[in-house]
Amino acid sequence: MEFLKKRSIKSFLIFTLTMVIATIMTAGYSKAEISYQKVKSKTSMIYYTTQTIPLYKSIKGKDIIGFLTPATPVTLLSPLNISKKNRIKISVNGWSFKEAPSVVYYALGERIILLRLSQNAISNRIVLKEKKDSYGNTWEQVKVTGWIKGNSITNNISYVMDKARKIYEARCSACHALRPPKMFTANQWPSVLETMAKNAALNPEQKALVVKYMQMHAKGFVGRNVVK
Amino acid sequence: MSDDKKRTTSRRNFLKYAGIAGGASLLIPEGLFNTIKAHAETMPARYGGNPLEVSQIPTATHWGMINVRVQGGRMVKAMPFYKDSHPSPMIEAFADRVYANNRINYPAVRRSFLENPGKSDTSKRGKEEFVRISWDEAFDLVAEELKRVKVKYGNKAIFTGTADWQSVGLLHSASALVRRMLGLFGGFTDSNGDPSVAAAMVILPHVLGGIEVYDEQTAWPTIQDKTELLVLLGADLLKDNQIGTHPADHYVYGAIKKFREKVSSGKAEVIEIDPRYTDTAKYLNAKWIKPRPNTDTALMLGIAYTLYTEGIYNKNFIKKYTYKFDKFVPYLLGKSDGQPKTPEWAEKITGVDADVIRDLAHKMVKKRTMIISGYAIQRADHGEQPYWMLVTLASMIGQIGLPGGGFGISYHYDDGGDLVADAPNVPGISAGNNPVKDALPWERVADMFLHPGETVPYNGTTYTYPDIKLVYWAGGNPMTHLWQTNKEIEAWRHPETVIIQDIFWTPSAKFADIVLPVTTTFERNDIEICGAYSHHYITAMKKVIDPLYESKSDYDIMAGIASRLGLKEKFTEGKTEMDWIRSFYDVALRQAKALNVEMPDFETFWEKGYVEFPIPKKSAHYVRYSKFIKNPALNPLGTPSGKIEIYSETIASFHYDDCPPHPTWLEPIEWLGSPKAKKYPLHMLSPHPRYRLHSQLDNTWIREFYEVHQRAPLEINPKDAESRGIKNGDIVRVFNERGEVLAGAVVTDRVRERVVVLHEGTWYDPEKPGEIGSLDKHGLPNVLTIDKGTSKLAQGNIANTCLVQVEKYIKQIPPITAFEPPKIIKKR
Repeated sequence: MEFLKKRSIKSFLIFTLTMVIATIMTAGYSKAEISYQKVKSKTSMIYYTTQTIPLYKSIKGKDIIGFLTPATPVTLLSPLNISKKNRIKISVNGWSFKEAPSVVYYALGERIILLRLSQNAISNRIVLKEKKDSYGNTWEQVKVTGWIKGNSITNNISYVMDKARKIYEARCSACHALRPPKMFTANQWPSVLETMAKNAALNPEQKALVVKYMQMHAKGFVGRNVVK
Repeated sequence: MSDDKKRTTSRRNFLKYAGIAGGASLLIPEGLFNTIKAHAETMPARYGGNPLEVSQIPTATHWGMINVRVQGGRMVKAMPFYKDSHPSPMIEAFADRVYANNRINYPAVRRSFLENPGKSDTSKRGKEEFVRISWDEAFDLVAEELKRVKVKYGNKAIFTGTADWQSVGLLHSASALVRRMLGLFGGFTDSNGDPSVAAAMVILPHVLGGIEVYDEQTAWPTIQDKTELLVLLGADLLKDNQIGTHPADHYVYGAIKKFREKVSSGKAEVIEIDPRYTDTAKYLNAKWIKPRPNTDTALMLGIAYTLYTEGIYNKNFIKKYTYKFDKFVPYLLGKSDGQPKTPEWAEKITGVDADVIRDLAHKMVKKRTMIISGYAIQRADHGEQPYWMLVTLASMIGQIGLPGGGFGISYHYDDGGDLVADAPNVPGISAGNNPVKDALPWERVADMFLHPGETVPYNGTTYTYPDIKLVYWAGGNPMTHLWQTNKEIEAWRHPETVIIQDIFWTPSAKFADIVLPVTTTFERNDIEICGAYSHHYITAMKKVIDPLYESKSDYDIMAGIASRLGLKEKFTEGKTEMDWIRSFYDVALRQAKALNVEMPDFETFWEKGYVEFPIPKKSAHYVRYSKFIKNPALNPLGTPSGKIEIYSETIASFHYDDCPPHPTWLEPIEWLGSPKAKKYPLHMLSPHPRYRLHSQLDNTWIREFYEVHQRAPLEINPKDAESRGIKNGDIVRVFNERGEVLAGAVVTDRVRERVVVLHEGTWYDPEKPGEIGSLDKHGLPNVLTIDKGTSKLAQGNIANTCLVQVEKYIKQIPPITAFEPPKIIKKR
């Protein structure tokens, strides 16, 4: 996280500036839409979790309402503060099965897990809209707000993806040829890796990273253009 | 003990173990069995050791963990790990294998290739003599060829099809090492998939959202507790569980023994649906239903029709857990194609009585039913369909996710249904990134060689065959492995350069240009996990003896080539053999710490030889799909709908005529119901052999145990034998329009009428080496099989779709030469 620390002051200024610019530029869009826009400059207000991290209920206290998976895009709602001790407020936007509201996915039909909420924290979700997919499943577009440790995010998605790719290349090619991410869909990859993670000697965190990497580069994955 | 006696003991032990391994010798007729036994016990030993120097060294193989006795620097005997309660008898042949006559002693090059590298007459492959060269010359030659091909044609022209089943070991993994070296060199054409389960691996992700075929199975104790009806649908559990992709722990033998007691007490019933009456069926006293080969889908449709029309299928399961069953029903009832899939309809196709089919349907829903299938039924034309139909049928029965219920397709090897230990994981050497991204659907190797530039549809994509100029195959035997050998030989002439890295002069090595000799497992250090699913042990694999002749380990060979290519540092990362082994162990140590599992330091482990991990109680209750069943919305499957897809919108969008969007009975290209059966009236199946691992161990005395006059045994029904004037022990000619092989008749009523069984992996032994269309003297079934894909979806192999004719061979019987090294001359 060294690179974040060095830039913490600069980042704070950039953040403030970005917030102002973004507010001007995105007038007329819903908050959810704004949060998914890819901002090409490094001064994005979208940051990404570097690993699996707890989502706290408030700025202080031990109440954990859920866990964010690695590389999950979060929108900053308070100034960036790169510190283990300080928490920053963020929101996560995604979609849930109406019947299983505790899991927040990346997009409707793309079951890339962003957030697992604990059962008693489901009320923390704000449901933005409801939609039925062609398979008959009802989805809810949701937004969840909470607090995370300041040192667990980056504005550079490649940092997380490169880490994941290195694990994937090193560990997933011992028993068989390295299977390209395009071999399976984003929905299939978690099952496939459930089978494979053991012999690849992935620990739970490495597995979470590789799952995310494969899903974000999977067959048929269009995504929201956040991954290069 | 004299040498003779030691060897004799090995043979006696083999017979003893063969008995223990669940009556695995049952299929060998009594008389023949005694003849072989007598013969085996009088064979003189070829070697021995100095009895004054004795040591016992732990290592492991696909057959499990073992201890090896070394006397005077020679390996004399492999003994089972003391905690292996059901060792495989095959370990008795390991010493013989190490000192086999056909070890490759030194690097060698085909003569005209050496004279003109890359521009030689490739039709001389397989028949020309070889020239001995030094390792320095070999490394230079391989490096020069790789560079030449890369510069002239690009990295895409380099191919490796090396699959798995090379010797175990997390470091000396030939397939990973060859890819590591070629990847660093700029890449190569690779292949996707797995020839064991090619159709399954593509269809099941559409249906179940995962690959399924390598998954932990519902634990055996739940079968013991709950299963009332065990259906074996083309699965011989006693046979292939002898081996594992990682060293086998042989847990399942104990589990099956125990289940046999349940069957004996009348609390469970076993039904085998298979053209063969397998050892497992015999051991479990199963009722035998013997359909025509390749008709499993029709049989299951007949069962499904009964369940549906009688209204006894599990409607709640279908509604809650499956997608678009209603799109399948019109086909089942014949509303979409005019043909209701009644048991009577199924009887015409399968040869199984309609009443038996109805009875099966009733039993399956009344009892707690586990349907176990092996991989064989999907290695057939339209092999996607039987598995899709099996999942559909299991959904209609509605017991998926219940203890001892549902279906399982990985119980037959790797100890499927084993109990999972609280254990860390051990990584292995990685192949790393391959800059060439497009990968061939594995089974289409021959077509790729023969038709560069042409395309092949595959799972919704189109693959364009590259023009392959150099083949590097390490730790595999494609000449026996690939289908339709005569087509294969023609294809094999296309590349300019073929490099084979192996321990022995396999049929494939004889068809190579450059041959590099490798050590056996016993001649190098390594590390492994034992129990592919259980991870019950981490085992040291210590060097038992020094490398024989000039052989080198896979790692050293690849490092040597990498060195010539200027990639040594990247390839080795500055590590020695023991550095790597220790680094793998260290990863496990760190994980163990996180898991709070006890594990000794590396030195203690290496000294003791293994670490055992505890099996938690919960492992005995593991039920596959139980999470999904408990809460399908919270734990959706990886399919687009999140449910079991009986109808797939994705497959529908491909518009493949040979793979419709729901399970469908499609006639195979040839089968007992096709007109071709008039000319070739027998259906040949080529399952995995009982006493080999594919083609491994064929060059040991084990062969003498089951072969008939040195020919591969062909199991044939007494009626089919009689009508052809064939007696038990006769040499026969098995043939069709694709080729001809000799085999030895084993007349047995444990194979259905009009079906013959010839196990795969017999070493190809052409009467006219290197010639297309030569008679194979030894009995390789792939000389007769068809090189064609299952469908446009999976392009899997269809080895079990094959019609043949059999006749008594009355001509002079040619001697077997498969196990003799080729002629090797000195360099001029």
